[in-house]
Amino acid sequence: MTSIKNNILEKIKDNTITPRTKLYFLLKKISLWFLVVFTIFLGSLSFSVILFSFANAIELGGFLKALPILWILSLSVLILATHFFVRTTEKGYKYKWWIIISSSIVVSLILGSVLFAVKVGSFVDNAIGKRVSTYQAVPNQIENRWNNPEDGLLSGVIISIKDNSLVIRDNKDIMWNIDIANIPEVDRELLSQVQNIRIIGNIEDSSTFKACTFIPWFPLAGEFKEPKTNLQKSFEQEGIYLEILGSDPVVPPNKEFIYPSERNIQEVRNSLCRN
Amino acid sequence: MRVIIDNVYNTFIFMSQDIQHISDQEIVHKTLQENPEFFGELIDRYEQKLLRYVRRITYIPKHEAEDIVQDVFIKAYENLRGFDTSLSFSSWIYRICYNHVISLHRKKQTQKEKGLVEIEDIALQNFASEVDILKDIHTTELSEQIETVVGKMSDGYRQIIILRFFEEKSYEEISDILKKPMGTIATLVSRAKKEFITYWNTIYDFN
Repeated sequence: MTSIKNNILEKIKDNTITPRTKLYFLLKKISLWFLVVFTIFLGSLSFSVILFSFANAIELGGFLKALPILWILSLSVLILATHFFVRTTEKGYKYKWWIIISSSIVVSLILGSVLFAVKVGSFVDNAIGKRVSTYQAVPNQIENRWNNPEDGLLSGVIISIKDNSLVIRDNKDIMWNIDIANIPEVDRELLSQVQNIRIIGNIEDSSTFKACTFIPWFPLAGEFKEPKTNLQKSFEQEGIYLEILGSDPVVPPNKEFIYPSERNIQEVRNSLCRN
Repeated sequence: MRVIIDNVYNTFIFMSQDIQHISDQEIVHKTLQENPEFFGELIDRYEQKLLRYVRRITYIPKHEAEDIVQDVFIKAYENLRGFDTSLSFSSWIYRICYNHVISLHRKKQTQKEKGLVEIEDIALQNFASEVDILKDIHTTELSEQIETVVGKMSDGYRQIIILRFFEEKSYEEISDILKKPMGTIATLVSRAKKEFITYWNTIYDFN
């Protein structure tokens, strides 16, 4: 018997070293595959939010403004993490890096599209928006875009309607008197059919806005709607709407509205708001 | 008393089998099922190979290499139930050895001053013919000169040259040892050969 062999067998005996159990290796294998599945799932969630953002790119003011850099970064990091975990599995090293990366991209895109279709993208966006103060959810970004009276864009809940004026409350709880004298009678029909309205016009003073045209809120693509709370319902019975985008948007029948892309808004302002 | 009886019984079982004709896989199975003494046979089979491999990749003195090999066998014994039977035992234990050396290397940079590669004559001839350097020098000088050049090479390519040409492992075995895809191994072997030839020509200036 060689001295190395002697030493090893003695060490095994003296220190009562025993082979690790099968369960240990099984758990190790399961944990690694769980991490692979988990990172793919998180990557798919990221992609569903990316889709939610892009699906509403027109409302956000264009493709570049809709670019969800945070989610694209998170998808990239998770795909790299998936690659890392796959490579640490038993047979993972046999595959080339680009096969693992492209497979995890394809799986994330397919699963992410399914999650977007069942409105999970919007749900995640909304849930993070509520919990992280620095994160702006897609509906909030759109809402903020329509709360720029200086740029001629205003939105809010209709509080009262008179002959040539309208009172709305914006998302900062500011009451605005809207001058609708220039709006044709046929377009004013919209006001009786919706609770929330978007207005293109010009600011007159800190509480007066001159309307050139109205646009209703369209339902967002892939948007998840939370069921209304009892408190919301009781407020709404009294005509108080807690969330501007929370109420169901209405598009009036027999009237075609175009999505307010940046170009359209400028065209409307140029043609209708000259004075 | 019970322990003594068990030991005698195990030794009897161990000696009564023609162990040298049993495959590595079967010995692993027998070690786990019947008798840890069977593990000694695996040590016999791989002790010298691993010792030589460790010395080739680390350039450490023999007694230090022996310590490393001991640790490798202990690790292998502890992880015996994790042995993937789709691999050869040889690839598996070389992988444990390689990973152990790498983790030690990270802890303290090992010496890489002398080209103590210890190449057998056959491996030496095969390698020299593979990189087309036989015509340049006398065979007697070859070993020393190859050792010097391999010693100068970058760690990654040196590992590849040692496994492919001195340990005479197949691409598949190297892939299993280093945990890299087979295609990557083929590329690495080709690049390692190029690096070797570059150093060879620089150092000995035969061109």
